[in-house]
Amino acid sequence: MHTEPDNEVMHGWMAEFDDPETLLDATQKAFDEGYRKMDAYTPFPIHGLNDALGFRWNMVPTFTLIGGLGGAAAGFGMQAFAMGQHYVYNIGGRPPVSWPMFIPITFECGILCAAFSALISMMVLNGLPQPYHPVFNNERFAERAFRDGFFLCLESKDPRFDEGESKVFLEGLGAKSVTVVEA
Amino acid sequence: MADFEINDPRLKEMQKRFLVVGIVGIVASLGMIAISGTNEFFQGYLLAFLFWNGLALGCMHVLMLHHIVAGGWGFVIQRILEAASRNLWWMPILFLPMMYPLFTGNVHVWPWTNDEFLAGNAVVASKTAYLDENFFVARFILYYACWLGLVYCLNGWSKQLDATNDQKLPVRLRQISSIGMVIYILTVTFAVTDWGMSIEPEWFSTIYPPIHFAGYGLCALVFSILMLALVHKSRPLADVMSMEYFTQLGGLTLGITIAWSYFSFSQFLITWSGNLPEEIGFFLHRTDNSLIVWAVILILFHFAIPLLFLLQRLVKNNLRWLVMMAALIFTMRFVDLTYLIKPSFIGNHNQFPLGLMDIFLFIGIGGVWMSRFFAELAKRPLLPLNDERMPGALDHGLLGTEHTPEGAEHA
Amino acid sequence: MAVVGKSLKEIDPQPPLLEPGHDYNSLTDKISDIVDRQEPPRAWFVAMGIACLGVLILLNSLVYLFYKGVGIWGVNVPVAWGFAIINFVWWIGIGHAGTLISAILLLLRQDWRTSINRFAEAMTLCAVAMAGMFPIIHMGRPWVAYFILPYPNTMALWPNFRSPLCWDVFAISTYMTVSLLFWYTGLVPDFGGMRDRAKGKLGKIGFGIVSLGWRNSARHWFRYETAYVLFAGLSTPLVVSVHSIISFDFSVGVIPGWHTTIFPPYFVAGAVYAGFAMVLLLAIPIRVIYKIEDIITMKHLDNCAKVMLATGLVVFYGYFTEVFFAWYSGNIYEQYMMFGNRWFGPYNYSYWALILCNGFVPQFLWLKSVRQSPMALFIISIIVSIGMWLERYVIVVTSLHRDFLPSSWGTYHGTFWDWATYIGTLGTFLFLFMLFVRFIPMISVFELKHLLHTQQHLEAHAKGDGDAH
Repeated sequence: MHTEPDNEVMHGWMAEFDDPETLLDATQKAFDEGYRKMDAYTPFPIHGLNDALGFRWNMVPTFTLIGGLGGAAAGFGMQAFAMGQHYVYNIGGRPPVSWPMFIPITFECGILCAAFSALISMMVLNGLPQPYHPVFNNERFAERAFRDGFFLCLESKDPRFDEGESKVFLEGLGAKSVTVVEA
Repeated sequence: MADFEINDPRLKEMQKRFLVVGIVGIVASLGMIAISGTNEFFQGYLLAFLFWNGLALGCMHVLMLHHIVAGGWGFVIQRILEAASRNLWWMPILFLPMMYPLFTGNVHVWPWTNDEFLAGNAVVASKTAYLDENFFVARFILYYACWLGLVYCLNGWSKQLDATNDQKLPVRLRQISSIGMVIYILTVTFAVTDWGMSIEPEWFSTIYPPIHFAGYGLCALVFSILMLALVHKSRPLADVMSMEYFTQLGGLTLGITIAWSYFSFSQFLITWSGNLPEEIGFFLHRTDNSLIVWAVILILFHFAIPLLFLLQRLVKNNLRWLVMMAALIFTMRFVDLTYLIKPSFIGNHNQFPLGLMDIFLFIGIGGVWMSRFFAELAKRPLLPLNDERMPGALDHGLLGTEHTPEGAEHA
Repeated sequence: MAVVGKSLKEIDPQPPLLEPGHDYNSLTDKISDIVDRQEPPRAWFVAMGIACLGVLILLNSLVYLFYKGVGIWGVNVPVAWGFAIINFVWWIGIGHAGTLISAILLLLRQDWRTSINRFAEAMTLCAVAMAGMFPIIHMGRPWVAYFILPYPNTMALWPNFRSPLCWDVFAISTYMTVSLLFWYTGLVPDFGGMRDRAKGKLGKIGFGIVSLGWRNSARHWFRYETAYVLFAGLSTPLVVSVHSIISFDFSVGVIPGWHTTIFPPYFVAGAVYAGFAMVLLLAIPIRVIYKIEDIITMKHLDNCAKVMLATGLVVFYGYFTEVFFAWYSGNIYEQYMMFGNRWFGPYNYSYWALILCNGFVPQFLWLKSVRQSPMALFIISIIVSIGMWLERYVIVVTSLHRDFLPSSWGTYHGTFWDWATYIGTLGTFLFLFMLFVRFIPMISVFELKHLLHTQQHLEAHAKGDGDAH
């Protein structure tokens, strides 16, 4: 069944593993071996897999914080401007800028913007929505990735990647199967 | 279990030191009476009592919460909470000096005890069915009967579990805690009404008791973080201890900090916007005359800074930072209670609330309290070794015989 | 081992979160098949039939309302807030349990959220949609509802930001939006799974679009999980703020019975209480109809019941403090509202029914045997739902119908159209929920697999440990 892939049209090698533990172990070994352009695919998030890929830190919380603070500031600013500057009127003798009464809307605006920042930064950083990706060309992946398949894909873009050697390497890590991913 | 060695000589050392601190504080405060008079003494005494009694109550509350949810964080502080809750045995005795202003009608402590005050205030006079000295004492006895009953069960059964390894006891502890929670909430509601709210007898606020629940619980939690940081390297605690427990306690602290802020802000917003004469006095008494600074301090250091820091995993994962946060919140608990209690006293409205007298009494009662706490803490192993709910109990071989040669004979 | 007698597990056995016998594959199929392989069960058609009837009733009521105006309802001075506000608060409260399950339980790392969070969130969305409708149709001129938004206009007008009713606009719209985003974020990986197993073109394209090209990459999961936890961290204070703001609608004013400081936390607890009752009302039949008792187990029902008991006690405590402090206050208006009006006034039946439904009946949940009986839980949940509706009825009607001046006292009763609108929303809620059950995986598949993995891990651990001893 195995055919020699053309380097031009090869995305990488896709190795399938039986369980998350083997995959985690294999990913760590591949990282230690010097592979960087690779990705693991699991039907549910596996704790520590990102560390094994050398991916320890992401920007989502930072953007969320900025979004939240910005939203809250804008919310408060809008109210203070509207009630204190633009359209001043007396209600029950309270001061125009009644800050205690501005807290609820400030809070809601902060939460709303933070939530959008979290979602949008997660999507943009992940490159979603993405209409096409080569991994789905792999039949095994397309069939099992969302069921019970635990995959590791070494990509041909990696300088360490070698068509023959990388395959042997993956097989040595306890992969159930190693198949080609066409680009 | 009796021959279990604590092997932490620091506890005895602490017990002695705090006792000295306590005695110095009390002597100093008694000396201060000559300068500032008895009114200030009783006001400061009530404040210090409410703080340290609240800490013991809060520890009991968190202990019951722990028995209900049985999360990992609870087991590492269970013995700290138990030791602190046993201090409740001393609290009714500590309250006795307050009987003097109660029965002499001192208008500067609880104004409703004063007949002249009642004659000039029809609204408060109409409340004397509840605000009555004898009824007050009867309720006081009832509260402590309830609390000490709970302390007795929670501590007694825990001790029995150490000795007998009877696994029915964790179930009973959970059951008493569920019921105890209801009893606690009801009794503390009345207790803080009697002791705190009635200082301004025309004022009332339904969220006032929950502010105290949250405050006491928060105080207990940061106190146990501080104590855990002190003893976490002692065995058997060191065998199961990991930073993860501190992180969880930090998360819980964050949650209760937010709850306290939420309750306090709700009270402020509703009272402020209603602006009713019978309610707004409470805030008028503590926002003029530069006293607003206290509110700003509370907003910053009791809410904003803990929130910003404890949201960071880096802080919660770092013992030094966490201990600093806990110490900050512990201090802020005293600041908050001072702000809640002191400006209420007649003659104290919008006065700078904290005097030397208050500090001496805080240290005096606190020193004795802490000394008793360390004595109690030294009495039992630092972990409930036989509780099968404890995560890792089986892993670490802590269950059963390893540390207790006597236990093997029971089997 | 020094174990004397029985171990804790024998004394106090707990049902599992996931019945044994499942693997990753069987979980995927069991949940996804409901959407794309099986014919809907007969019960689904029955429920849908009833629901459609409700939708028709609602449409009818709305058309007549828009034709005639709010005069068809029972509202009039002094009771200008009637069913519309009662139903609004009731529905929004029900929504809160969904957010609580998905957000707070995630932060507290409670495994039992996994099997029920998806449909609880869907319940939130349906309930909030129903809730959001009421203030708008209550406006009298709903076609200018956009006046409540701060938009640039030629009159240079702003909404009154110092009014809690304006806070409501922000709270409800934020809540709806964030709940939707949270729910959708949770769905993306499962949509990917549905896309890859879809047989027809429609399924492939439809699920393909909504799955955004999700491919289970570990890097994606990492950011995804961060965002998901952040969502939980944002939703938790949000859900508390939303119902607090709704309680401000009442408590910021100075009406006796409304103006009390305990309202925010007590409203939040009441909302969660009613919400968990609704979760149980939905979960108990669904787990039987779709035969997923092995995934939504007795443990889930038991835990929901415990949360209901705890929040019910908080609500009961709220009633209790209202009574005690009304008496303690020495304020004649507060005292009259509580005793003269609520306890012994013309609407006292609703107050005492409320105490019975919300205060006493849930005390049965202390008993393990009750918590282990789906039938008993179902009945208690219905009673609690009625009780929570009565709570809002008592708050709105009794506080308003006797003003400060006896000359302006009046009475209020819901008319036929009040009831029709309410029943109509019940049907519409069911309609939306049944659509969800039919077309979207109602349990989070990837989280279920995660749970399975954790459990296998724990089992292996326990076994290894047992060998060692």
